Amino acid sequence: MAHIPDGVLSLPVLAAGTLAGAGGLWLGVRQLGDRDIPRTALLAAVFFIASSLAFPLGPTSVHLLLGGLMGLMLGWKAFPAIFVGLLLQALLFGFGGLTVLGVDLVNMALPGVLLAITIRPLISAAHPTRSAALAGLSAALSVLVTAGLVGLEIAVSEPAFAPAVGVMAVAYLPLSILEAAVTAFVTLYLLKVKPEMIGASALIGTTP
Amino acid sequence: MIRRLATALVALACLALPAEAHRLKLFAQVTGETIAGYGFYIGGGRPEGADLVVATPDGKEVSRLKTGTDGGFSFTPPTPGRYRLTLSGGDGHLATVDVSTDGTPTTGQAVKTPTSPTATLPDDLDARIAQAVDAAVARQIRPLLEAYDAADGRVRFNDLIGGLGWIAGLAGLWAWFRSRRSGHGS
Repeated sequence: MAHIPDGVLSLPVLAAGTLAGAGGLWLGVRQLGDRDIPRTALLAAVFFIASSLAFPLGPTSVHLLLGGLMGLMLGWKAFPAIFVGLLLQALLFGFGGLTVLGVDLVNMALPGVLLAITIRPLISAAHPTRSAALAGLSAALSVLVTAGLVGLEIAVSEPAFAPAVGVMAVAYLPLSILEAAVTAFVTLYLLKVKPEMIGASALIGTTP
Repeated sequence: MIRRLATALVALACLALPAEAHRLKLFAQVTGETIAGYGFYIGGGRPEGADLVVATPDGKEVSRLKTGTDGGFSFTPPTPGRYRLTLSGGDGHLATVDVSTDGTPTTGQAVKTPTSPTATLPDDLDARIAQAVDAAVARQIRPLLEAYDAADGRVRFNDLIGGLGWIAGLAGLWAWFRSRRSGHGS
């Protein structure tokens, strides 16, 4: 959904997005300790598959973005994970342009990471239901913020192609509900089975 | 745990096959001097009432129209030449295709169907035959071009699995790099 093709965005937007993406990548890689590598790779794989496969929903078709879940499980390390997924999608399937990678990365990773930082103190294995509901809410919000960012960037660069808010809402609202359900379910499951997957280590990194 | 997640992942992948990408595409065919075609989402659906901008290759806007209920459009540019069509689905999806109405080659996949032989009849019999053959061939290969366009953005299972291999390889590379730096490997 949020894969912007080459040649749409203006240079200032591209530059700002690339810089912000590089900054996020740097933060994420710096936190990527030895023990975080398998988890980060696993979630990169989950993101790669989930956002490559589209399924019909209403008049159009959608695919998951999983920004909220990635942010919750990886913190800033969601940036390298999503970057690898996006790079492979651009190279293998032609989803989105290579020059737009930084912008796409920020669109998909940043909302989830920031929302996860906000809700993290309220998430604990002691209150699985509340935690899952919060995780779902942040996932839904992160989809909407991603959609808003995509719309804003296109509108700023090329007013002629500015997306319509109504059409955006029809496309992204069902997706945000779906994403909330998936994220809440996964959070609930992980809190019961392996709570440290959603623990503080996701933010700090286990080893320097 | 990781094994369980991986199993769930593979199950998801199998469930969703045959997989289709989600991408807006634009199919355009030139008949005489009229450009006609339609926009479509590869995952399914047609963009209704979407903005279609016709511009010259250097970016000057010539015209702007809306697609019909089936995502279709038809447009006759004021002068024959090369045009770049950009379709904006309204939800952030964009598709571009280059067409030419004067026979000069374009980089896009749009094809030129010559004017129907009944419209202008050259005196030369050979030219008439050539024109009729051109029109017939264009009519015959249209479904083929449509199918090619639709297949173009499809996610192939091999590529998907290849991508997973890349991720595993990158993780291994990173781990190896870390182990060399911290001396765990020696």
